Amino acid sequence: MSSLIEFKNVNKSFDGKIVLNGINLNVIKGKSLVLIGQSGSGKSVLLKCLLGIIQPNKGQVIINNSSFFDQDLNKKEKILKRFGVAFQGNALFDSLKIWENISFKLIQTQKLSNKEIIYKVKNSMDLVGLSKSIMHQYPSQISGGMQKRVAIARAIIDEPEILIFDEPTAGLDPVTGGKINNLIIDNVKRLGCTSLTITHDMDSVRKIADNVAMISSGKIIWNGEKSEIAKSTNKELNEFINII
Amino acid sequence: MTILLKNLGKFTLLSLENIGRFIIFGANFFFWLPRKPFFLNQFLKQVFEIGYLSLPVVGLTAVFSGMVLAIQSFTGFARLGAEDAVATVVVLSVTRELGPVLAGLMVAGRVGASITAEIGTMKVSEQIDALYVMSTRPIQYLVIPRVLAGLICLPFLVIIGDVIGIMGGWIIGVYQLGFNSMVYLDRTIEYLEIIDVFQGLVKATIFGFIITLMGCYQGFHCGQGAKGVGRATTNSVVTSSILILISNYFITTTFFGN
Ligand SMILES: Nc1ncnc2c1ncn2[C@@H]1O[C@H](COP(=O)(O)OP(=O)(O)OP(=O)(O)O)[C@@H](O)[C@H]1O
Ligand SMILES: [Mg+2]
Repeated sequence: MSSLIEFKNVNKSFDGKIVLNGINLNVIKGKSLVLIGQSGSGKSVLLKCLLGIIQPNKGQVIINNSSFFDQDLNKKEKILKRFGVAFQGNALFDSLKIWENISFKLIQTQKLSNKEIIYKVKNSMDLVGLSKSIMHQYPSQISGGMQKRVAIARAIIDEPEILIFDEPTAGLDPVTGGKINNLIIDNVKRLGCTSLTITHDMDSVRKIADNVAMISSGKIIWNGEKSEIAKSTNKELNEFINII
Repeated sequence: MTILLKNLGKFTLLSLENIGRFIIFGANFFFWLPRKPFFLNQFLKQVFEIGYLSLPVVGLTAVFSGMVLAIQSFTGFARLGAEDAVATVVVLSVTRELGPVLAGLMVAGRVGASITAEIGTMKVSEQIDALYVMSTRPIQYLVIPRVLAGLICLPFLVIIGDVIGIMGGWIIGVYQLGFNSMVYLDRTIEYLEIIDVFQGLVKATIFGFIITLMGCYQGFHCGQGAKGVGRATTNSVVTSSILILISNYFITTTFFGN
């Protein structure tokens, strides 16, 4: 079992406030890792450190055995192309229409005909259960749950190897949430993707996780296979799982 | 007293830091300018936003300034018996100073503010992070099209503003002050030199650069939330207006200093 992504002693503080305090975590190739933890515990910050959006104060992120931060911009971009990312706040481009949002990465990184692009956009929208009637609307004109799904459709359009989703089912009804869960399972099991998902939704954890990691007080306090959770004696983990 | 000194020191350091960052930002613009990809669509969109949509504001400012200028210089010169100079004064003031400076200030208010608000909002809602993870460099996608459009559009706006301003003066001259139309126009052209117009266009180009670059810079460095965006927008307009007035002085002395 080889690690695709390794966090090595990652530290981050904002104005003296410690958020990440020595994070060590492996994301195994071809597996789905779910990261859980209280609100404000630093999950999103950890994700941004992985992507190089936030520079950690100390530590490294190793992707495919080489340190991500040491690469030059071109190499970083090449690595980032393998990622499909959906942010917690969606981060849709509000000056672009829905279909332009979804196809953005394709248009920037591949040479495709309009027909192929539209085909892929529609396919992507199908996968997240979005009606095609919203294609020509703007993000501000659709509901929050629809925006969430547009963000996910945008992340998966070029069939990335690594899926990074920050609370993909938050604010969705159970049926649509189930669809997103299935999408992640499908990508990992069938297409061999690797995924890192942040969630508060225990149903998601149960369905999509191969491995689970819990973050608290800036550290990974528990990390293991999903089946081991039941046997765990970690108090914080048990408490967290029982509550949600 | 010590508090005052401390704050003054803090303020100076902060300003120096900001100036440094702004210069680096500008250098980045030139570094990325010749590099591919160039986002033509974004550029054309900005030409429309910055150039075309600024026409009404610039036109209105120009026509009324030209009119006021004609009235003021007429009443002034009448005391010296030099009413004939009105046309010349109007054309020189408009092409050299009022055209570029007023257009610059108006565009700073209109375009500078909207660039900062837009980019600032993109920053606080993680859209800029999203650009980056989708292999699109924010500087190439957002900054270069805007600054380039500003550089190119402002001279055109100023030329149009010049013509409209001179027309404003002419309307007042002919219909209110009783000048003969042909004589007024002759006077307008007689003492006008290429360098007057050219200098105005150099100013316009530099102002366009200042406004759009400052707009982008403030957007990229804005604080968190709606408050951060609001503050950045104010900073953008105030700073670029001040920079316009300061650089106007230096460009004028470079051209006509001796
Ligand atoms: N850019 C920033 N500047 C300052 N502090 C920040 C910044 N980003 C995050 N923080 C702080 O880091 C801490 C962790 O934030 P983060 O967004 O990672 O939480 P989270 O675990 O994702 O929570 P949630 O489940 O609510 O999304 C918070 O206390 C937050 O205030
Ligand atoms: Mg979060």
